[in-house]
Amino acid sequence: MNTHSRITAVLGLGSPHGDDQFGWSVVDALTHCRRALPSIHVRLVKLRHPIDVISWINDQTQVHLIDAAVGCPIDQVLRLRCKVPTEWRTIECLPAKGTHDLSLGTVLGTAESLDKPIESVTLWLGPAQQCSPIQLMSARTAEAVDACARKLEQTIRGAGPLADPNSHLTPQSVPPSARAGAVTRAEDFDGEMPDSRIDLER
Amino acid sequence: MSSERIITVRALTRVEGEGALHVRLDGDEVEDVRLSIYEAPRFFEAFLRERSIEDVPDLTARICGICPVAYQMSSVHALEAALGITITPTIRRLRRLMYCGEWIESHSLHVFLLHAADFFGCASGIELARQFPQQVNDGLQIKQAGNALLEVLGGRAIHPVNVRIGGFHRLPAAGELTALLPKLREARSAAIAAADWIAEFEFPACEFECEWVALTHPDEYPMNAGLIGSTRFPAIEVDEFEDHFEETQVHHSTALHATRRERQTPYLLGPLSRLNLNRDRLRKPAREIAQRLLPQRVIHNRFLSIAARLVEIVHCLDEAIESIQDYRAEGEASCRYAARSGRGCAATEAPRGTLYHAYEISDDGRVRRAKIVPPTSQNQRQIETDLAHFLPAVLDQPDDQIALSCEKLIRSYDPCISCSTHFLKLTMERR
Repeated sequence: MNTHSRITAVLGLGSPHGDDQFGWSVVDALTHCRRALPSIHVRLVKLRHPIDVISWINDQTQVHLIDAAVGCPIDQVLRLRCKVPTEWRTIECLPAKGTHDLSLGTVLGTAESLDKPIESVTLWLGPAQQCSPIQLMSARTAEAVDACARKLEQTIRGAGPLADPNSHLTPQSVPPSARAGAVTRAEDFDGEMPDSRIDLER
Repeated sequence: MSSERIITVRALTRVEGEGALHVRLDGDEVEDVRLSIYEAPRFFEAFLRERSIEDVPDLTARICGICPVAYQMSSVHALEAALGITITPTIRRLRRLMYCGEWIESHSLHVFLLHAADFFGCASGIELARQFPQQVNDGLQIKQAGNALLEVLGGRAIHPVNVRIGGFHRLPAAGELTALLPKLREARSAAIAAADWIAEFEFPACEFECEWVALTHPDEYPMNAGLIGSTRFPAIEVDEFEDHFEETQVHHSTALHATRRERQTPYLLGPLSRLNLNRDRLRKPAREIAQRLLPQRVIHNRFLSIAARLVEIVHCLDEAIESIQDYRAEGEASCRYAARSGRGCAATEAPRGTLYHAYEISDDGRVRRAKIVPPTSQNQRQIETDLAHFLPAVLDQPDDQIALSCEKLIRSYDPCISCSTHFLKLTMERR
């Protein structure tokens, strides 16, 4: 397959509620620096429902999927690659408040059942501490937005770690219990993941 | 001697929102069924007060991530009634087109990914997709067609922003809509083909008579205009709604219950209600599928709602295609108006049933009072009644199977609990 003909889709999952705005806010931040991105092949999209991710999972699209994660370390953004099954399968569903309880984990599982190329999906998870209705994001989550947007921009422009074909996460480095729902959960993480964590600048 | 038995389902999946179901049994007698919605009230009616009426469509769209169009439509129609605005035929048809998008999107998700799994013993859409990849892919394709309609007409698929009092902020260019035609035609073929699949489903017996309520319209399948019809009582004007229906607070739920005001009886809204009252106004392909999949009388089996949703998907795809073919981007995007004091109400058909809005507005165009009656809260009392009737037939099953059966019945209503005030837990007590 000619990878140069592929498009890159940056999909921000979220809602207007508290730290669940993380995904949408990263898309907003990237939209503001759009000129720095390859104009033709990058799509920036906000989604409300995890199920709408599925139509983006195809052979022509590299998907960067951004979501808020309850339990994600508050000073980090986690990156998980779906091409490594042991990574995304560690995402666990929370009781979801999303589209009829179709969580991100269920959607990725359904995509896999439908033989869709989920290896083209990379998850970027930001910290979520509170998702109260129509509340502002927490200060740490807002900081994570900037860090995630910067790293994604570098990645899309080919300067980031994803541009390095030798860069991948080892199963040992996956958080043992990253759990995803409409609001993703990633807790109990105590492993070393040099490529998969973006530390927020202080 | 009494012995107490408690059955708990910690998570009723594939419904929208959070709540719990408590069942108390005395032997084989069902003593009490309570559908508890414990989602915190969101006070939308309160924080709409003193807001500019221009803010109302976008604010009310935030009530629900599944049916924002319904909230926008009921709000603008109610405000237009208060302001004495008559919208143009073009705007009216575009609003129906937008409603078609929402019904297609919402129904296809429920039919192909949420509800169908119940008829094959699949625990989730993941299992269903393994067994029926073609049908699930078709469902996703149909949903995409609905999403695309909403994006063009609403400005974006999530919480559309193009609707305003008097019409739209911007009319879509004809080319934007005609570009959707191939996708809509493919979706229509897929939806018609799905009738063969659903025709093979085995539907559990669940024939409980009840009052079915929906909008009725002499010339069209109802979406955003008409009288409030009933299978038991004469149709009423929408502005008589509060004379005939009332909301009451119950101890076990943060969502209000709705009943007939005089008789305190429950009623049911939704696709089966619409079909029961408007079947002859379906377009031909949809009517033919209804004839094939559904009985030719008032339908009472709640599990047949999946077939009713498919019928409505076909109807909407057909109407959408014709509306787009006929569309010319002519005239003003919205009717001009001057703010004035007044009161207005409207009912439109959300995917889950009739959604009523009423507003009082002041001279300076601010909301004085807002009343919003969503379909799921109206259905709650009837769902409890149905469960009480349904349970005796499954009481000989193990507790986990009883819980599963209740979950399936509740899913057939496609409840949107987040609308009514948000996951359901089932607790069963046996004495």
